[in-house]
Amino acid sequence: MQPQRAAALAFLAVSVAYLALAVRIEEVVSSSAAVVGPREYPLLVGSVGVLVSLFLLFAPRPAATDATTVDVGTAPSDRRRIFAGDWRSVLALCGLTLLYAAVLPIVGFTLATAGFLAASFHLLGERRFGSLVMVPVAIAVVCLVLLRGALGVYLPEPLLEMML
Amino acid sequence: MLNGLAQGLATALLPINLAMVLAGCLIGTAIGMIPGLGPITAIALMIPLTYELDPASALILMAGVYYGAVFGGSTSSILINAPGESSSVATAFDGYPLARQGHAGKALAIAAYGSFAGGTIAAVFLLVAAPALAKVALAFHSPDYFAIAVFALAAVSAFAARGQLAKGVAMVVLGLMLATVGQDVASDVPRFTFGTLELLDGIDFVLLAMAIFALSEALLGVLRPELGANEALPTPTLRSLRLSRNETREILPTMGRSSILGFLIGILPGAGATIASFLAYSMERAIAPAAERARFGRGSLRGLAAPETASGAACTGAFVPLLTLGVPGSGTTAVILAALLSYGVQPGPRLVLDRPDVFWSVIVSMYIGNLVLLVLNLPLIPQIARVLAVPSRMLAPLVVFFSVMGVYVTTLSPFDLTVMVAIALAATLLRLLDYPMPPLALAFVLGPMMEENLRRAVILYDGSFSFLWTRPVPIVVGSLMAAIVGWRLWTTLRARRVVPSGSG
Repeated sequence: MQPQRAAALAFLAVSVAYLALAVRIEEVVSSSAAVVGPREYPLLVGSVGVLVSLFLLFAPRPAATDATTVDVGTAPSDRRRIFAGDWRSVLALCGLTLLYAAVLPIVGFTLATAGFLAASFHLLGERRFGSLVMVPVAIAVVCLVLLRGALGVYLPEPLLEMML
Repeated sequence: MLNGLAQGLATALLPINLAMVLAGCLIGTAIGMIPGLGPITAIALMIPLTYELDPASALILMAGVYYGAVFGGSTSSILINAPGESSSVATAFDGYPLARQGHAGKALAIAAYGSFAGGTIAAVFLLVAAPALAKVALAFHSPDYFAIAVFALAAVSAFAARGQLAKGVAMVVLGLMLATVGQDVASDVPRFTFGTLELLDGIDFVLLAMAIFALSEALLGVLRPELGANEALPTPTLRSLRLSRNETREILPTMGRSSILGFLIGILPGAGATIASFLAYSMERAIAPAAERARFGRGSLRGLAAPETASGAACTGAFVPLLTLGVPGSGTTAVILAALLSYGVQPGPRLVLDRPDVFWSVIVSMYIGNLVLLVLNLPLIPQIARVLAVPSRMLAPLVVFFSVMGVYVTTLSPFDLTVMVAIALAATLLRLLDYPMPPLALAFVLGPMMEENLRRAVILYDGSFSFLWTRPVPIVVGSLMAAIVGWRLWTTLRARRVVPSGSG
């Protein structure tokens, strides 16, 4: 399937699912007296979503007429061109970010941040020792001092708090 | 008025108060540059520090922090495509491409000039017309706000390339959908939360902005270095900040128009700098000649100057209802109202009579804050822009880290970070398919305002939608929208007619 059609189909699926969930929104007595309650506005938005996705799915595609128009995805071979790239690194970076989010409250801001930065620098090709160790630690400590020390923003530091 | 102005000037120019505005600008810029910490947070953080100060000095410090934070937010938008708050989203549209083209210094300088021009012109309006304008602003009701929000969304056509309007509309719908996630404000009914407590508060704007702009930009850079921010750029010099005569001539009228628009939008309670910046961008793009219009989104000086100026003017405009009526027009002015009350100062119609020193020193210090910001930050721009000289393999992880931190410091929720990564991946795919992201951000900001005002208007009109054709603002706005859509359709059809048959 052409990527643009697949995207339109995905948007149609999202809109239909949104409408299905909107129908199930609880209607409250006080708002049912009014025409627009908690359910009506989402129903309207979802309906427009279905219409727009159907338009994207079935409307004829305009030709590229000038430099501002980038109409890609009209041929099956475009799939490779559009989605070409280093997806492995992208997914690995996303995975590292999720891991960072998960361990942050457990090991604390400084350790998690230094670890995340060092791992992601390494992932993207950085090999110098100073950049892999010194820079991540310096950034983590500076951010901690600035945010927690100077601005009073809470950042979890369970290990540090345990030691103190 | 002149006596009051002189009194305010004398207060604001005291050495202690000049030191306050200087410190405020520096602190505000530093805080504003951190994604997730905008003017509201910056001012809120300052309140406890100002209890010991005289009210006038405290407010002067806050004015400096306010303008500094606004400029700081623009800086992260321009340099790493990470708008930390909604009002600096439009700044990234042309500011970031300019930075990637090696004109980061110039882009930051235009942001500073725009903010200064907007603040200056708005300060003059504030001086001469504040009470009268406040009454006009209060005459706006829910149907009018609904109409303005719909009109701002219609500006989506400004962000869509020719032939891509449907994709822009699809992104608006997606933004409206995401904005409905969470507890319904009017009835407390949970919507689209899938039974999770974490989604009850809805999706945070900073999270969405970081995901669709900064994080997806970093991921695109990793995916295909030629598309994203993975190329180290040279550090700009002071000389590179200078604008040529032609460039100055190009942006001056834009600044004039955007200042007026920004101020007028800014005085409307609840509308604020975000709508002002988006509308100013749309207006400039709509009236630009075809060749210049094609540069919008790719590094247009006008495209950068318009939202920055309008946002600066709107920030000042938001003080009109605060000072003259005691009604805060934005989140930031609500925090300032809280600060004023804690100093024992009650804003409202009597403020100018009871506490002229405070009233006028706030107005004068806002102007001085603008001036100091310009003088202070212009020489610092080359240093600030050094971030672009970071090696490519380190810049992307740093952008990811600052995005994650920006969300984490505001929500402290690992769940939100997971949502952010998921949205960023989806945004990366959508960007590869040429779906524009700005309409999504705009719809997300305006969605709740639109729904709330629509519901309120329907209740006010006894369940009828007659306000759409009986009130002047919806009629004028509706006519303007019809004109825009008609013009857009006409230009599209005309363009198709002149395309050679072989190409279609």
